[in-house]
Amino acid sequence: MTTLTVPIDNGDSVKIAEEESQRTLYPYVTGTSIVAIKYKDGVLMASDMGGSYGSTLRYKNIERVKAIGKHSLLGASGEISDFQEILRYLDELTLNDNMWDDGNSLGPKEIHNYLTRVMYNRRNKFNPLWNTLVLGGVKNGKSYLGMVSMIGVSFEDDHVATGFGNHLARPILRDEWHADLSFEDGVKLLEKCMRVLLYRDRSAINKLQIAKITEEGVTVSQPYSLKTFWEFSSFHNPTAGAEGSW
Amino acid sequence: MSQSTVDVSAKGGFSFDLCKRNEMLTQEGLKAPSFLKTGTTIVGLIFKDGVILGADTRATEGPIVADKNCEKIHYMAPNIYCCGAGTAADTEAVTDMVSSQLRLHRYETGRDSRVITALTLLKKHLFSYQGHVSAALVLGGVDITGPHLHTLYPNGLTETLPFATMGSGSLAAMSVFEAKYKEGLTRDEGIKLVAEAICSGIFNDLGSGSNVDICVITKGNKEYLRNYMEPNPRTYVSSKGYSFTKKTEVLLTKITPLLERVEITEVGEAMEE
Repeated sequence: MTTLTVPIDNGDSVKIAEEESQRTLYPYVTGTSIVAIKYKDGVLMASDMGGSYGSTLRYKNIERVKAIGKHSLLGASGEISDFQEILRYLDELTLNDNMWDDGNSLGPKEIHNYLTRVMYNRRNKFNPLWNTLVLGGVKNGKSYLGMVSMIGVSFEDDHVATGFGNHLARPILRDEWHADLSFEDGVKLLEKCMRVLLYRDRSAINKLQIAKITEEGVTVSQPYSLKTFWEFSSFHNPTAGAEGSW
Repeated sequence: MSQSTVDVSAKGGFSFDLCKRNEMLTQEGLKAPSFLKTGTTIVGLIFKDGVILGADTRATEGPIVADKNCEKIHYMAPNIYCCGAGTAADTEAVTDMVSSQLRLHRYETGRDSRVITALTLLKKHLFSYQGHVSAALVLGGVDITGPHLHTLYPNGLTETLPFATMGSGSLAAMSVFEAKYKEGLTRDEGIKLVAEAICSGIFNDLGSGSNVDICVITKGNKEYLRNYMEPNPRTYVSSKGYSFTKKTEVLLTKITPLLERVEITEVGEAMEE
C-alpha cells in the first residue's frame, strides 16, 4: 500500500499487545521541509503546501505554517495530524494564558520551551509526535528562531531547516546568510533554497507560502510558485553520444 | 595435490561460498575488518571549452580520518580523468584497471581514447559485480566528439549530465550547483563554482574535508591542480619550535663479536645425477 519511513521499533517488540497498539509507529500524511531565517525586522519562514501520503502527493493545499498568539509562528514538517494536535495543545495554552488577563502574552521563547517539553515527554513514552517543528517570533524587539525535533532535540539558531532542507538549504544559508538582511533579500534567499529543494526533493511541490513575523504581527503570503529552468542544451538529447546511459 | 576448498566459478565474478562461514563467525563474535571509505564530495561540470572535475581530499575509516590529503581524481587517459567515491580500494582498483585497458586499446586502434569507451568498460565491470564493487564515479573528459561528463553508480547505472555530484557531500555540493550553474561558463567561473561546491561539501558534510583538488580538461590540454585550495590549514604552530632534547647519557661503549668467522673448505662428492 504505502511505502513509508522506517518504523521506530527495531523488532524488539514485534508482538504488539492490545493496549500498546495506540503508539505511533510510522507517519502517514507528511509535509516536507521548512526553511526559516532571521532578518532585519524579524523572522521569515517558507514552506510548500504539499501533504504526501507515502509516495503519492495527496494534498496540495496544506498550510504548514501557523501563527501562534501575537508573537510567534510555528512551522511543522512530518505527520500532519500530529501538527494539528500540537496546534490544539497550543490553542489551549494560549487561551488559558489569556484568561489571566494580566496584559502578558506568551512569547516565542516560552512556546519553544513548552513544545520541547511536550516532544521530549512523548518520546520518553515511546509515543512521539512525528514532527520537526520550527518556532519563530518577535517579542519586545528581539527576534527568536528555534527548532524542536520529534525526539526532543531543541536548539536556537539564526537559520534553521527541517528534513531535506538540512542537507540542501543549510549549506546555502551558512554561506549567504548575514545579520540584518532586508525583507527582499531575505525572501530572495529563501526562494533560492526552496528552488533547490523543488529540484531535488521528490516530495516538494511548486506551491509555496512565505510567512513573515515582525513586532507588528504575522503576515502569511498567498500561495505562489517559483520559476524553474529546464532548458539546458544537454537536457534536450542527453545520451546522444552515449547509448545505454541515462 | 589437495583440492581447494573454494571453487572459483568458471566465468569469473564473485564466489559467495564463504558467506555462510563469515556469517557464522560474526555471530560467534568476530568483527569483520572495516573498509577504508572515502566519504566524499566529488563534482564535475561542463563549461564552455571542456570539463572541470573537483574533489575533496579526506579518506575515512569509520569515524577516523585515515588520510588527510588523499588523491581522489584518478588518471584514466591523457584526456580523461575520473573522480571516485565509496570504498577507496574499489575506486583505485577499478580506475587503474580501466586505465590500463584504455591504453592497450589506444595502442590497438592508434587513436585517442573516447570517454564513452571508459564509460562502457567501467559500467560492464560494475554491473557484473552487482554493486559489490562499491565505486561511485564521476567520469569526465574531452575527446574528438567533444566534452563529456558521466556519473557511474556501484550497481552499474550511468548518467550523462551537464553537472554532477557524488559521495556523502553530494547534496551540499548539488545545492550550490542547482543555485548557481549556468551554461557556457568560462574557465575561471567554472573553477570558482567547482571550488565553491567542494567547499560546501567540506564544511557541511562530516565525511568530507581538508583540501580541494581540481582538474580542468580541454581539447588537447589538461591541468591537474592538486590542492588548488587549502581552506583547512594548521593554524597553531608553537613559536618555540618542536625540538625534542636528548636526555640520554652514554655510559659505556663495548663491541663484542658474536662468532668467529669460519671458512668451510670441504671437498665433497659431486651431486648424484
